[in-house]
Amino acid sequence: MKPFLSFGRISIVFVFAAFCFLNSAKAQLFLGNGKISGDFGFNGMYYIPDSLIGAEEVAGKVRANTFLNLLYTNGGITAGVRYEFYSYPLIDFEKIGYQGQGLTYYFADYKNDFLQVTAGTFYEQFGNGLSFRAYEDRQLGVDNSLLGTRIKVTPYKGIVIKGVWGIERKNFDFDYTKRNDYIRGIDAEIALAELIPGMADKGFTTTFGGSFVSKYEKSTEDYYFVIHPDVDSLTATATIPADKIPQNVATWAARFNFGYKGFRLETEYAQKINDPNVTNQYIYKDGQALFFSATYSTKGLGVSASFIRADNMDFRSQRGEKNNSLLSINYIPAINRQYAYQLLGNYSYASQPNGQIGAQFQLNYQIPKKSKLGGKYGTDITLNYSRFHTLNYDTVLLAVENGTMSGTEGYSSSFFGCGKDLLYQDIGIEISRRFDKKWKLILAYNYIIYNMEILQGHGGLFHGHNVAADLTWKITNKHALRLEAQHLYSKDDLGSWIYAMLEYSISPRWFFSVGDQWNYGNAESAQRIHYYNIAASYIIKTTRLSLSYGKTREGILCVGGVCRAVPASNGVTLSVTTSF
Amino acid sequence: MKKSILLIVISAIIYSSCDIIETPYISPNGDVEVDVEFPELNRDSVIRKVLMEEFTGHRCPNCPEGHERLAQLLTTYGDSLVAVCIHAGALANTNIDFPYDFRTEAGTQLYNDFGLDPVPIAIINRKQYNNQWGVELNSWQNAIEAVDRSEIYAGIQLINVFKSNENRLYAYSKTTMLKEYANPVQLSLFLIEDGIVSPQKDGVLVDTFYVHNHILRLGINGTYGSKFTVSGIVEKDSSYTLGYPVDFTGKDWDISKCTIVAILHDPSTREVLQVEARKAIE
Repeated sequence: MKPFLSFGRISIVFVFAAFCFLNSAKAQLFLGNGKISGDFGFNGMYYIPDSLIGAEEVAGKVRANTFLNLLYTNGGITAGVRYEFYSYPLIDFEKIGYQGQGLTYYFADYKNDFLQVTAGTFYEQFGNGLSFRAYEDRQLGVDNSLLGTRIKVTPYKGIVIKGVWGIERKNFDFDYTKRNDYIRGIDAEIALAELIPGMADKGFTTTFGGSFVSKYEKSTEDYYFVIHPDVDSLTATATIPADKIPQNVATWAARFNFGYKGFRLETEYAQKINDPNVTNQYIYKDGQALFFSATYSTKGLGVSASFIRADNMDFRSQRGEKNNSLLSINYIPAINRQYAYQLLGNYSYASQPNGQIGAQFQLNYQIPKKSKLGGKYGTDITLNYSRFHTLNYDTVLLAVENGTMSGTEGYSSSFFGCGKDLLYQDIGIEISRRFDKKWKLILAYNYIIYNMEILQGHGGLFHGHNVAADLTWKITNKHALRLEAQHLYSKDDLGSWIYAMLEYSISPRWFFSVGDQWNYGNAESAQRIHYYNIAASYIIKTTRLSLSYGKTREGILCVGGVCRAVPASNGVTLSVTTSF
Repeated sequence: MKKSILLIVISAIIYSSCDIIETPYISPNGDVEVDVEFPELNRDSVIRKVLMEEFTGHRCPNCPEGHERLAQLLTTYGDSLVAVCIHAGALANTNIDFPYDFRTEAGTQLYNDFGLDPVPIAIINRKQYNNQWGVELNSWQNAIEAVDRSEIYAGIQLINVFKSNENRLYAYSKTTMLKEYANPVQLSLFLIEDGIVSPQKDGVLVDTFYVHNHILRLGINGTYGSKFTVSGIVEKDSSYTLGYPVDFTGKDWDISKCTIVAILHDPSTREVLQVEARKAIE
């Protein structure tokens, strides 16, 4: 494959980067009336094979992910560039195909009160993302940026119209001359509180919005598949001819947000036209998604309720792509409560754009300060409950006759009906209390049910009770000690786990930690493994250096309902991040 | 007036950005009953064969060297190496000196999907070698050697029946999984042909009577083939049959020089798990 970057281009980037670093003693580098800022990250690991945990020998032994962002701003003009070197990336990223190097992000942008235009690479989101979300999550190895153009117009204060047109990034495959797909979209939003004088002063916020997004993907190939696959002696095949595979697939969405003082309501509905693709087994049913969220907060009390239903809404630039969120055009949010607890990480709910219905409820209450129960600083209590199911659907007759949904409408589904399969349930309580200036304690309990078969492709229903404690002791103004302890009790999957981590910090420079995850409840005694980790970090101004050694268990990593697999690993990690 | 024009333009853009497809969506290919009997598979005799897809072009001056190298490799590896020559890319275009069009939809799609550079270049078992899909001529043998042949995932049996009254070839396959395999798999059937005489650029000269071998003629069930089950998941020790008709009407293909190539692959990793070839008429 022809390299995307010539040596000359790479040299220019490095010279530019070196120039910036030579000047990094200054907080920002000034060029004329403009300024340059940026950030750099290096995350490298020396891999040590460990057959017990399944950590394979890694070719090259030392791997690293590296990037540099540079941003130039001068009045209304902004230009930016990012270079990524992932040629020999951390093994997690290699396994999802995020491997390569190049100028992955470059743009120029002009903005005034009426107009903003962007040429090059950009990120954008319409509403909650049900119809369109181009975003980046470095931790997950997700980068759905578009290369093209974007226009934002503000004809009146409170009215914003956006248009996007471009080709979506596909890992490091930058030969766009061979791409047969692109995206175009338009979004409009009206903020009434900005249009109608006095409305905001009375505490009202109201916005209406709508978007339309369409992808084009050339269709030249007939799609062949087997019908009656269960009949052993007879092979019957069918074809979806290329001209029956839609080249232009559109999604539209409408949204409404309303707020009055402490009350806020957000809702968005999206619909997608026929989009046969590999994730839905090439069915022609329309897709639908509904997101609803209502919150109320006042001093010491907050309540929220959210609802989501998504049906056949996996929407990608290429119909043959199914891995993680590669080439995803839209985003179906995960509305369940997100946790940072180590032991629950492997049972994080992954949003199911092709079929989920669920709700989340949360209550936050603060027992008042200086009361008997609340203590001097008050005590915060959070209760939450969430539950998600598959959809309640009936396979269409033709699909039953053919033994496959491919090439049919697939199924019909009742809008508010829940399917028989539970995907995820979480009941939790968290209590947080500061005892005095030195001591703070957080206690949490969760009971979760997690459908491993549907969400991870293996196993059955996982039931787990997790108890967590987070105790902080501020020894002096500079020195603090934090203990995090968790216990996950389960008879399913790998059984029970216990975790403890002790962190000592000398503010503002040093952090030291030592921790261990122990799978003490594994049914196989040889698999009762300790996953220990020891780490030290040093911070100077905007630079952070971190060195650690430890083992990572095989599992998943999820951020906002988007997940990727994490392979087992063992080794020494060095990371350097800085911004200037 | 301006607003009306704007609305009409927006409506037109939106309308043209949606392809609403009317039923029926599918064209049944007709049931092909597998009315042939496959013999019992001798599991001990199954070896993992290697697929070599050589991308070439009749206007490519260096490609005869590639064909020569391929012939040497076929002598070295015998029938454990299955070759498919694919004319694709700019050097496969036709012109007045090279009027015969060797290009196929399947070949062009493979060339594009694997992001290949100038020919001659080969993909070995659709697995990356030195972090590249396309392997240059000097490394072909190294890439073949790099295939782990101890991993024998499946055995493929082929039976071809040519019905001259219909002018159709019926290609039947039976795939028996010999190992557990977690990902969905697909089987694609290619029709290739030997002994096609047509001009070929050779250095600065043109060989008018060049003999082209292993030429891809048709992806019988598309480029990437068909799944055996709805999910594509297969089970160890299970066998899966597929049968496809190939209509020779209106084609200049010589049935006596044609071969069916069956490629079992993992669409998620692209790797070829097993490949088998059998002459259309024996």
